[in-house]
Amino acid sequence: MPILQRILLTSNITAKRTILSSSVWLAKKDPPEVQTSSSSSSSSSSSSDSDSDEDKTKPQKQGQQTGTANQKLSALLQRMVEEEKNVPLQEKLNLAKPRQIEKAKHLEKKNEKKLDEKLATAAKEVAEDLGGDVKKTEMELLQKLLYKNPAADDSEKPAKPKYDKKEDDKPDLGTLTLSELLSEMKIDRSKPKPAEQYQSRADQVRSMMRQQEGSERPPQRPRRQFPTDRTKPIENINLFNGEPFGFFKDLKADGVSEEVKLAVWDKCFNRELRMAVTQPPTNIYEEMIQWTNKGMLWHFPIDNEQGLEEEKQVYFSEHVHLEHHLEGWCPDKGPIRNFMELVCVGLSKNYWLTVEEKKEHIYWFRDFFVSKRVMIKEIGAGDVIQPEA
Amino acid sequence: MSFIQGLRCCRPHPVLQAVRSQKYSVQSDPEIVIPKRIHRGPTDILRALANTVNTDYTAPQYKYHDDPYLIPTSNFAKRSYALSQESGRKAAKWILQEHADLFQHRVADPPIEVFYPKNVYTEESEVDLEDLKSSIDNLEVADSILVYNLLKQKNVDLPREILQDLLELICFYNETDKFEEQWIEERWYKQGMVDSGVRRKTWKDNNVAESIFQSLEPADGKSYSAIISGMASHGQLEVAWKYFEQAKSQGLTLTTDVYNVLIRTSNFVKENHEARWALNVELLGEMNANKVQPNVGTLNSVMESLAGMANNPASRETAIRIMADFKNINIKPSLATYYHLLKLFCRDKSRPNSILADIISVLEHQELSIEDPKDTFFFTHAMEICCKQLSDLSLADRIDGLLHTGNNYNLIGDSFKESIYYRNYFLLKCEYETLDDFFNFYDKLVPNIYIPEPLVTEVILKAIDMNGANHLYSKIWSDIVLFDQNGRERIVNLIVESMYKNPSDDEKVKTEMADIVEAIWTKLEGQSSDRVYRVIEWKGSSLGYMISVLLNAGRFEKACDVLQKLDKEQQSVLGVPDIRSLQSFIDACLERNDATAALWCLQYCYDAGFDEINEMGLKIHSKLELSESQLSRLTSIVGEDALQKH
Repeated sequence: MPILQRILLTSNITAKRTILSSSVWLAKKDPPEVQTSSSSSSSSSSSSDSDSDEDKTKPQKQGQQTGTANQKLSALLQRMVEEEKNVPLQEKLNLAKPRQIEKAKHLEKKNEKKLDEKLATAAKEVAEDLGGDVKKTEMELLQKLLYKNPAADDSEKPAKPKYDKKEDDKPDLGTLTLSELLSEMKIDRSKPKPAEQYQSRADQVRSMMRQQEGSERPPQRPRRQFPTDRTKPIENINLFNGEPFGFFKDLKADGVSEEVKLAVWDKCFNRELRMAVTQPPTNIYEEMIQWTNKGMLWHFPIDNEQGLEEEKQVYFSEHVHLEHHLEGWCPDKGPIRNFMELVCVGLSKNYWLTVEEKKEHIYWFRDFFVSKRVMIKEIGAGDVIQPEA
Repeated sequence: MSFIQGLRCCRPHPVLQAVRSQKYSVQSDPEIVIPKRIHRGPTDILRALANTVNTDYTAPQYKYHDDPYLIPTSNFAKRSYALSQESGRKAAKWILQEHADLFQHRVADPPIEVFYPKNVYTEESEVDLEDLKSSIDNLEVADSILVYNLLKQKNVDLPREILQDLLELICFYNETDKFEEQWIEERWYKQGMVDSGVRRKTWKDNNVAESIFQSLEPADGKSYSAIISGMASHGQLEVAWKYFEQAKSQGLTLTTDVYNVLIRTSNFVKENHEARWALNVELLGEMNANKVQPNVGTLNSVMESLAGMANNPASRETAIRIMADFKNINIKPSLATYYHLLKLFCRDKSRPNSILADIISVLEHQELSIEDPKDTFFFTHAMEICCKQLSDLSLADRIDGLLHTGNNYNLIGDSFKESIYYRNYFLLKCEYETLDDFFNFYDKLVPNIYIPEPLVTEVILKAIDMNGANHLYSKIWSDIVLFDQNGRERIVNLIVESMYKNPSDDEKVKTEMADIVEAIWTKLEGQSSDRVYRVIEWKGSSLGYMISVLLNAGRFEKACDVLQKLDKEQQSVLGVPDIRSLQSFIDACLERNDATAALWCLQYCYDAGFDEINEMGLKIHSKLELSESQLSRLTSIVGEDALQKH
């Protein structure tokens, strides 16, 4: 019996995986075949809503040929009631359907191919469990399975392998067990039948969840490609050892003397290049570099006469020694001389004014004193000399 | 004591001996060599200082205010903060320009040109030649054209050199104004230069450039070069080729740029690959014959043209031979060359090859500088190939190493390219690193350098799921919230399902997971129904997972809320939960002797049409003391038969 359980288990797994595929086949097949398969298939119960709808409409046309009329009629009625009930409820589901079905179909086609492999592993396990001549048993099992499979009707594919497997165990288990098994199988198959007529919400959900499980896989597929790519050998291409065409035979000399250059064009081009690599600064120093380049910042090393091009023309002594501007008009001694010397000292220490401005300052006093010349002489403060114009 | 004595009696140290013997040699060579002064540029000191500052991965980028409230945490916030700051600068600039009369004082001596308002020229302006010169010098396209027109109206005689300069300027920018260099952020966030194969014709026909060109009689090599380069690089290929033929027939020497741009656009001129290549060969031959020195731009143009012919298997061989040709005349390839080579050799369906590894071996540890506008495409493309085709993590690390050598990071391009670069790097790391290593890497770069896109977050979530690393959920969830991705349906569903699949025994982790579920619950309940954009629809399965996670942490009341949602809003909830979640809910009810809740859940299961209600009913019946009314309710749900079996 453990062997039996094992077989049932493995076949159940395979059956589960083929559930959707069978429903897809059902949708594709011609109505008569659908009829037979849907009555024999153990899996159509979990097909999706729209699929099962299709299943059911088709049986209707052929109802008289195969099934009992009563059953079909009740199925129809059931479905109509159900539809009425479900439509408002499931509007959202129906909207989302087409895409999901697409995905499910896609997925199942893949699984379909793997069915054989799964059967093979199942057979192997069974053979190992049985003991004795493992290889031989496995071979026999496989022969049966793989031989029958293509011959079997497509629509019966999911049910058939199970059936065959039971048959294979015949020599070990005896005829009694086989019939038991077969009867069991029948019960198994008939079970989903009522479920097919009335699809409970749970069934719908199960089928939906399966679809979701399926729909999760496709997005991963692009990533799954990595390993396949990796298995390919990496092609070695030697990039740097080609054989030259010899286009520039006459240009081997370093540069050409009379090259035509466009100054402004090149300037624009370099500006674009510079802009392509100028990026937001990542620290204060980089920002300061950018400011410096824009001319917003003093150049390092700091020189406080930077950029004062005008002043560079003037020697410092002209700023400091201003007394000689008094020559020729200022009295040699007395309060006026005193005052003007103080003005000169003040001006010589002033770093805000240019030499010209300092001179203007002095000349303003000169003109002032000259205009007051008579009065100054009267009070005996000295003799301001009128300079020659 | 004995140790020191032992030291004393041993031989003098060899270094000491050497020093002693040197004493004599110093006397024999007294001359001191003073090194020559190295002239430093104004930014050299700053550069040296900048090199001492390492990237602080824990701090926000420099451009953001270092204030917790002002640190951006999503790509969107990063972009808008940076651009707002710049827009403030722009506003200041605008005011300066609009109210120039208010800023008459001399703010600095020597004056700072960039702080001054720009000269404004109008139709009435009195202009002279100097104005034209200065606007050409400042590359002000619109101003130069305006001044040029004014001067022409006044019949001022313009010297040929100035006209030539103006022609070059207009041709280069195609009459449109240049992009201001100071708006760095705007450039960084602009969707960069797109490397589109087919370019539209943008050249403005019969523009000022063409009339200037006509006035330069007789046209010489320079004027021909300017107009041909301008036209060809702005898509006016037909006329450009006409002028090219004219210039050739007059035996004029043209600039290298002319040949470069003609080679680059050869794919649009000729139909099939043979004709295109023949044209390239012809142009290269002419360069040789006319003694026009090719430059790296020529190499890149040829490669770009070949990359456009990547379908042709012969192109590969040709590219390798061209490389050799340029090597012979000492022209080193730039990053753009490699970019085009990668496009040629690493196509989607081609076999993975060693090209990228070879290129990286050549470039490794070099400080690169920009030589071609397309140099900035290299790193992004290389990483993409590394991720999508080669899946080679060590190579990716080498590319990243190269990118972080010296100032090479400047060649990343713009923010868009940077994020593609990191996206691919992250995907690769996530795929091939162990989860711990990956998260070390993640912690380093996220969130200050890179914020994962939702797609990358999904991949990370899947990796956590696969590794069953349930202690990481709280970490990744806090990041998801931070990056404002907690409103994304796929991510929310993914994390809920993944938490359900990877239950934990650790109390702390259990609480964390339940907290996440509660946060999701609050977030989704809080979303207003009138929102159209990105409203998450409740999924039955996700709600079921939420129930399980909550129950696992013993939060029965919250689980009741979720079930309430499932029960009351069946219309808006998509699908029903997994039966196991509901079973665990009933188990929790049984533990608490809460018959009402258990029956409520059972009723829901019945409504949802689960087959398992009978056994669940039996369980409730056998484990709980039911009151009369509760018993009758249970009977009404599962039917008498089911209970009778017991």
